[in-house]
Amino acid sequence: MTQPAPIAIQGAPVGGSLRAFFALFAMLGAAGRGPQLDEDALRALVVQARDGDPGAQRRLYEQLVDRVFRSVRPMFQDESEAEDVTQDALIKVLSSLDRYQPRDGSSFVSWVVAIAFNTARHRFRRKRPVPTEPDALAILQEAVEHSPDPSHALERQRTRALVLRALWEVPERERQILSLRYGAELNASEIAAIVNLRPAHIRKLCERWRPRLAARIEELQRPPESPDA
Amino acid sequence: MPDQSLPIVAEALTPGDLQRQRMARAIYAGVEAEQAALLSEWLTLIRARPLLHSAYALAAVAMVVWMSPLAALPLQLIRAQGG
Repeated sequence: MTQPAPIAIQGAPVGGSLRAFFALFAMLGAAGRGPQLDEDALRALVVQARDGDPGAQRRLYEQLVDRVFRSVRPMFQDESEAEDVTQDALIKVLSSLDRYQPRDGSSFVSWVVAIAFNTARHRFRRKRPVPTEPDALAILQEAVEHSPDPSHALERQRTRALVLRALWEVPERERQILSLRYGAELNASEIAAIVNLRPAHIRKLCERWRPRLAARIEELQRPPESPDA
Repeated sequence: MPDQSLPIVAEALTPGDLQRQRMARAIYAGVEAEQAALLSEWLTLIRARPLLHSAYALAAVAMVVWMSPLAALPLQLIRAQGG
């Protein structure tokens, strides 16, 4: 795997250590994804981050960004809107770690995802049309210009577009729940607390929609049959 | 039937490296702004017109102290002793 080039940070004057910390922060975008930590390790990181440990704050970000993005991405047609919501939510989270109170049966990630979900709901004012085809130009641009393996990046973008298309065919409420279950990987109780439903209802809904969603994705992935066949 | 995961969804929705870079930069700016905003605003004002804005800052501090419940109690005690 190739090492990413450092990113130049431009901004208001800040202290050297703070600047160095945020420079590390900004480089995370290209850094490798570490293993997912368990709940105890995450809570320990929260305590360290509250005490001002910049490394802990950076590792927290690293642990959270993918799950937050995956939980909100299906709520928006545009990638950039999902990125904005992820950013806003993580800024809120990292700036308000003092307010986090650990609770039995509820993970730190579910607290974070709840913040992201509410941020997304505030932003999601009106229904958007179902995307029919992926944005070919954006896919090609990202795949060719920025990836060491353009064909892999292109295939990845195509799969994402198909998964999003399948998700967008699901009603809004169910789509949100499926995003929290299969995107953020929360359990039924955690989702129930976020969307104000009973855990049994969430479980039933996921059992009903999971095979349908999987089948639809598989169907979309199949190459179209030629008219001559 | 127990609920199972759907790895293709998580995998497909995971942000790419370029997106992670963009988000990390924005979060850098956002967290920095959250931490520095109030203090830097005050400092910028005081640097611009030290005398006038220091006076404003002192007046603001006095108002906050005077209007807070913590300040009200000792004030009442002083008044009671004086009267």
